[in-house]
Amino acid sequence: MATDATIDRRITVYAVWLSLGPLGFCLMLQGIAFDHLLTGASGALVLAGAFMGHLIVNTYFDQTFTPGEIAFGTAVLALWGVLFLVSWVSFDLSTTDLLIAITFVLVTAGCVFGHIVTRHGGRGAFSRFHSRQPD
Amino acid sequence: MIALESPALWLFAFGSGFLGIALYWARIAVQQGTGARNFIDPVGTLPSFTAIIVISTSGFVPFFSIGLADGVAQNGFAYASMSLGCVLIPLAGVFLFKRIWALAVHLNTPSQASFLDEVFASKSLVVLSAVIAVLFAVAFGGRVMTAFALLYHDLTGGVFDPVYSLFLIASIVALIAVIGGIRAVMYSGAVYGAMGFLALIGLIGFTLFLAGGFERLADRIVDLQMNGEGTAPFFNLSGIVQFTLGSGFAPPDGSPWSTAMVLSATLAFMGLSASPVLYLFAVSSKSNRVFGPGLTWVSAGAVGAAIMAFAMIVGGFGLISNMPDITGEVMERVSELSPWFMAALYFGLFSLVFALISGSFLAAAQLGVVDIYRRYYHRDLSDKLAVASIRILVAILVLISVLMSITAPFLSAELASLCLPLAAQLLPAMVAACYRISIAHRSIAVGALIGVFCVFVTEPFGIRALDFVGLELPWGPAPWTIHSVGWGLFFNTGAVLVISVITRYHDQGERWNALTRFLESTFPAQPFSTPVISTAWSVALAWFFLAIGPGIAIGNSLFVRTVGREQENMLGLPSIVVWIMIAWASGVAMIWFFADRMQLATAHGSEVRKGQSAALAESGMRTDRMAVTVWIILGIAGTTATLAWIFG
Repeated sequence: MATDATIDRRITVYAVWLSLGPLGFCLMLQGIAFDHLLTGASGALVLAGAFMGHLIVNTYFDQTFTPGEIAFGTAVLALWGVLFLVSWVSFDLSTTDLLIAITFVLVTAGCVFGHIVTRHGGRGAFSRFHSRQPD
Repeated sequence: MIALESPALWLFAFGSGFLGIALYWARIAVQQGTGARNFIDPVGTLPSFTAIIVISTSGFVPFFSIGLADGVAQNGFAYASMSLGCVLIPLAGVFLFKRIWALAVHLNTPSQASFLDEVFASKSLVVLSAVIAVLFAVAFGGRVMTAFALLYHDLTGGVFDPVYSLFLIASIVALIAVIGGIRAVMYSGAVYGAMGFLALIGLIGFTLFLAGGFERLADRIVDLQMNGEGTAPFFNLSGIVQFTLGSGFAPPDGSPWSTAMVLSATLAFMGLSASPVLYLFAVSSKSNRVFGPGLTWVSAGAVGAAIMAFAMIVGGFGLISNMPDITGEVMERVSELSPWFMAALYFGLFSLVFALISGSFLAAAQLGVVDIYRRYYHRDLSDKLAVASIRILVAILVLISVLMSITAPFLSAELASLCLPLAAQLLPAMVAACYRISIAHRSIAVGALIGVFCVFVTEPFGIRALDFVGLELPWGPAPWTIHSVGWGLFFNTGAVLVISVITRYHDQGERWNALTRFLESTFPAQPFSTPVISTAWSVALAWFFLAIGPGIAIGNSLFVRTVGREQENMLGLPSIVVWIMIAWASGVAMIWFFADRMQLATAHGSEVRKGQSAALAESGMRTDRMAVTVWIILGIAGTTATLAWIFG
């Protein structure tokens, strides 16, 4: 059974993502539908804002991402990537659409990188991916 | 791409997401236990911030129910003064919630009925609380769900039948309450609260976009005010009071929105804070420390600002565009431009009302099963069976609500309009319970019943019901342009005071004295200087007089200046609009003063230990009491039928 602190944190995380997530998602869709880079890019920035909100909540409750959150986030990004690749191959995407997608990828990468660096430090972040082979 | 531009598809997608997340929280609630303690008895157990978010977002529901923006679009800015109810809901909460919470924890009374029974030992108040809870669930809930169902039908371009849409909406509301109980409702309400608030802001923002920006909207409103023919009632309150016999007899000159109507109608919003469902939300909080800042800045500040903007901007745009159903119109415009945004807005707005509606069904079922059936008829009823009965009763109430909305929408709407006025009649009882003012506590029930009677005979439902049994009243709804709440509260408090004066030297009884001692020891009197106290009361009286009382008539022309032979608005907006905005801002400051400076809603007292419910003296099934109740109900029904047959 979840503890009270876990429930509090989970409610806050949901509140952050449910308020900013649909907004960012809709803005990106709007940018793609209307071929408007600024709108689409602002959607990506709103999603980055939600991610930062999640980090603030984690810091406040002195917790980190749960395995479920990491799995869900990765799955959503993977799904988004597959959708983008399928669209790129199957439809004639405009330059704006591509730029919006690239903005999203860059913002997401920036968020993940920023999180790892701020949490583990520059050297520590590198060590998360690199393990020295025993001599 | 055609499919992706279908509003129905996006509504379905967002609806599935909404339901999925709500079900997830219902599962979390179930994991925490399915006993009565977790399902329906939340006293002092849930995160405080969830209680504040749910209470604050619930404050929007009455304004959605009365169609605030649509009302402004049809009646003008005199009607916008109703939006000042967004100050009165948290104001009543500031006065009540901290002490109600302490008493509820001390007495272990999860429902308003059990609270009133413990404090006043009055069966009449228990029945009244139960009736209000059922009305909130069946009629008020039905009305709000119907509004959303009709919007769903319109937004999907008629793909979903209104009846089907209503069943869909109702099943979401019922499912969460039935599976997870009060915890699921509170958790879902909290996670959706911020989304709902943003959706409301989004709706207002999109209206500004349609209007061409704030300046253009203001210019067009002023143009209508200066050059429109017969538009004066849209921008002016029609005097202090009009001595007409109510709508249906002699219509008031200009508009029915006199200052007396504004004062009496806005008082109805205080009824929300005295309702059984908000009692349930408030006592669920882990602590009473949050009520002060939460009610001031979240409820009156943030949600209040959104409600004001909703009335002025969305309603104002409807007024200048001659679109009486402006909320639906704006949503349809959003749908044309961006179906995904429309779906997000729709479920965002739904999330604002979801917790209150779902909670209303739970509160009504809880009252029916625990506070009436178990308390008076079947004291051996186990917790497990009680929870199962509550679940079944929630499902039945939702079904009744839906069927009534479909088959008798007019009756449903009239019953819904009774909810807030009736709940407001419990205000004297709640104030007396919290402050132990020197009144005869037995007068409270008498006053409440007199208040209920006055509401009944000045509301369309009551007048029609009496007409049905052959009693034709010589007045219509809201006589003298005074809303039923005004009549009810006037006679209610009047009766309480008169009875108290007559019986003031009588002993109040040991139970009452013990509760008084508990409150005095928990919240010791603060050493405020006399000027601070008198300032507080002066501020409150001045605000009531100027913001919602007769003084609001000053707002008709205060910010208008004469240049030559022309009149112009000093601040670029109609004077009444500026006055209402100032009234809201000063109302927030007043709430802060009472909550924080006067410490009415900040915890300064000692810790409250959770008490045990009073031991049940009897056991077994009381079939004799059941028989009496059935005979009473049959007697009332028979008398009504006979009167209707003879005189109706």
